[in-house]
Amino acid sequence: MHESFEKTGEKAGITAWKHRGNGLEVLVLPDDSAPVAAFMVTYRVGSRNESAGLTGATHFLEHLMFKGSTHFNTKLGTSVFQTLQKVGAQVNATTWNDRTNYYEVLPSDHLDLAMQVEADRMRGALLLDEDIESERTVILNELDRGENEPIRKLYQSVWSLAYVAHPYHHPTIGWRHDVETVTPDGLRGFYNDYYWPENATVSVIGDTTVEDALTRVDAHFGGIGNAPTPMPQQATREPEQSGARKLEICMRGELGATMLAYKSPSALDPDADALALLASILTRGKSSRLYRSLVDTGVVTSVSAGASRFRDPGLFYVLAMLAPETTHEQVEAEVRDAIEAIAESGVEQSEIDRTLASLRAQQAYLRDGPYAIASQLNEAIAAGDWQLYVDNLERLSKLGSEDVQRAAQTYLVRDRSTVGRFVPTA
Amino acid sequence: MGIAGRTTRTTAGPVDLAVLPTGIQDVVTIRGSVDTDPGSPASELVQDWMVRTLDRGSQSRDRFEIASILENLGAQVGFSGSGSRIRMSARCLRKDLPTVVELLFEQLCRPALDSPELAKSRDRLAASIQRGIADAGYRANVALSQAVYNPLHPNYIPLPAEEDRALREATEGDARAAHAHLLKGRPRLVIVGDVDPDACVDLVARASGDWAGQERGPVMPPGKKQKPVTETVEIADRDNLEVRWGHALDITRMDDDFLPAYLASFILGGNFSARLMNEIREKRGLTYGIGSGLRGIDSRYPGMWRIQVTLSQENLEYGIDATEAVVREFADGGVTDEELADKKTTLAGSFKVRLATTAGLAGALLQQMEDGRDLSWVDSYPARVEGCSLESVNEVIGRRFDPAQLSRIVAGTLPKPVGA
Repeated sequence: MHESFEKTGEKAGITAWKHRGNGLEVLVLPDDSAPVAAFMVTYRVGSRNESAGLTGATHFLEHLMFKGSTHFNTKLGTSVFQTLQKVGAQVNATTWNDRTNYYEVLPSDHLDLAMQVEADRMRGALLLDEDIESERTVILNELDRGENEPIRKLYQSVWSLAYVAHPYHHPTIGWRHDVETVTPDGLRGFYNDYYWPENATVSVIGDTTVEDALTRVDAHFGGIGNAPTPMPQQATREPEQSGARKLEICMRGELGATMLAYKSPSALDPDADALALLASILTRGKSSRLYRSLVDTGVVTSVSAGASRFRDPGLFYVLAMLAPETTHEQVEAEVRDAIEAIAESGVEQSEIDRTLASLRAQQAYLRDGPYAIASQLNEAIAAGDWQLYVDNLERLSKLGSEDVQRAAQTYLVRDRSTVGRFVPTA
Repeated sequence: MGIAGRTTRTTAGPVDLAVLPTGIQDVVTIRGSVDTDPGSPASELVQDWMVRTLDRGSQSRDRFEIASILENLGAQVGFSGSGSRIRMSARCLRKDLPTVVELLFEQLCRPALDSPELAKSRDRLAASIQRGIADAGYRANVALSQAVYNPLHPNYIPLPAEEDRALREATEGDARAAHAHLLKGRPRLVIVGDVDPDACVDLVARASGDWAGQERGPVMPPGKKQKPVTETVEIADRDNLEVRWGHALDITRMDDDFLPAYLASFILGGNFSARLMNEIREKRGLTYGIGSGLRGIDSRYPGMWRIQVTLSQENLEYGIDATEAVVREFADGGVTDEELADKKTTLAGSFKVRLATTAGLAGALLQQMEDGRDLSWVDSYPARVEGCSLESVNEVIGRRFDPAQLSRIVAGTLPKPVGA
């Protein structure tokens, strides 16, 4: 295989490689069922890496990466969007707590073009003053759009109250004042800290071969050097929470919502699997416990639960949209009762089997087109191990009722809870 | 061989069926639809209520029994209503296809529609209508639909209060009548993925049983509104304002003008490298999102040309003026040869990308069946796009797109006037 790369792993058809020169990680999954490929660069930098005054910098940079790089910019008539959309590529980027990703899904005969663009902007982003100012107002409008949404505000406010020291406290888009005042030098500094090959994983999925993908990646990224200084590390640890926290969001709206959240472990902790299973048993599908007790009875119009899979400890949460005559207290009591019942008596094996059956089918559905797998890999890379995506089903299959029960007893306790309510005003 | 050549299209019982085997292992995707003619916004609402109750139990199994079967297979079956069409969708593993097809038709043809479940569906729909009251984007769309269409047009959306009243006045008998009406239409179904066409024909014929619906014709297009309006929908605590412009476009998907009009609106605002995004976001930084497109145009009735932008309070006035200037320039000067060439290659490439999933393939095939076309229309799409000349696109812009006829809606919290 290609001499510039060292093979570091293989699972479920995916091979993992590390570039011997610059440490760039490469994942390749060939699939020739359609003449299409997905190319994605995941940088292991997210709002988790931001400090006071620089909140929103990761997201701001994500926008600026589309404003031009050495060979792909508006002045040359080769902007990223012009270049890639001309060949029909789906192009976008997203920012989240632990990562930023840039991706293209495009006809496979243009795979080289996607790599050229991504390699060029890995170290060649222009980051011009005038582009930063023009993009600042774009982001402020994006921020205003989010502020229009009561449920988004509720979700963010619960995180901010649950985490007071760790950077998961602040919204990924940043606090408004920071977005308004961050300087071009601050953003360039952030770029120069984190946008390096050793801090990135590229994924090539679809109509390619391993040899072909590695040859192309080497040609485009192999010449990029490493960071001149060690990458800054996020070191803040959240202090232990020792009491329930509560908040209310009051703004114009019609029907309320409530979110109960509990501190949960980091993505790679085995207990995170048990909490993921517990979330499914509570709200996944019409057979789930809270669907039956809250939605089917008309107490709420919808309910969902989730356990975050972030690099650092996060939140397990239940979010319910209230029906017109329902009170927040009523729903919160029902959710607590459901959690308490699991903490006391565990769950039925049939509930575990149902969740596993659904996950097995999901694994097959993910093979439908190259982007579905890319997006799952992206989150696993961000959490710290791309194999988390492949191993997920196997890890969950090993769990029993006692694991779910113990997770409920350990994590879903009042003193580590944060409850947020959306209270609509007329 | 093209997609049409690999697809088996046949009649299975009452169903117009298309089956396309692909290289994917295990996965099967189903898309389908039935045409309806609700005839009025109130009837459309009742239809929506009925569709939301289809998955709440059949005449032979209760809602939890059906849910349990599907969830234990990891399969999904869903129904939705939109205007004068009801759509079905499903996804499952190959081995589960017989069960899923059976349950899809069981729920669609023989739903329980019993009083307790209809009551719950009604409450959920009422809550959904209520939530829309403070949603600036939704309210802007409602106001624009009322500015552009007459109330009997399938795309007309009543005010939330009117929908709420209509829903309260509707009877369970109305919902059951809407279902009887649904069964008078002819179902069409597309199955794509790891499938055997012959087996699918048998499955569908058996599951659809004695359904005896007929093809429905075009919806009589009600006359469009004559005068454009400018309207504001004030909502507190919504500092991001949603702005919409639109006018009726008297063409259906079957019209020769459709593809040139589609290309024209795409050049104006169809993607990140289109004119509006380039001028208003990239160059001036006024918005996060802006675009234009053809909306609500069906093979059975016409729709509108729409432009939309989201603006913060401080940029409202400037953003509106700048957007209108770009739209006027587009209508007055048309598009350039280079823009057209760029967007042709964009559409050809994105067509390939779309067809890389079973859902994309199923959607493309279903669209041709809904339009009443031969499936070869899918394969000829790139050539048809390539065949659109600059003259034909600009001629359609001159004839069909008129900025003076655009209604304009602003929804959200308006900026306060600066005091003396």
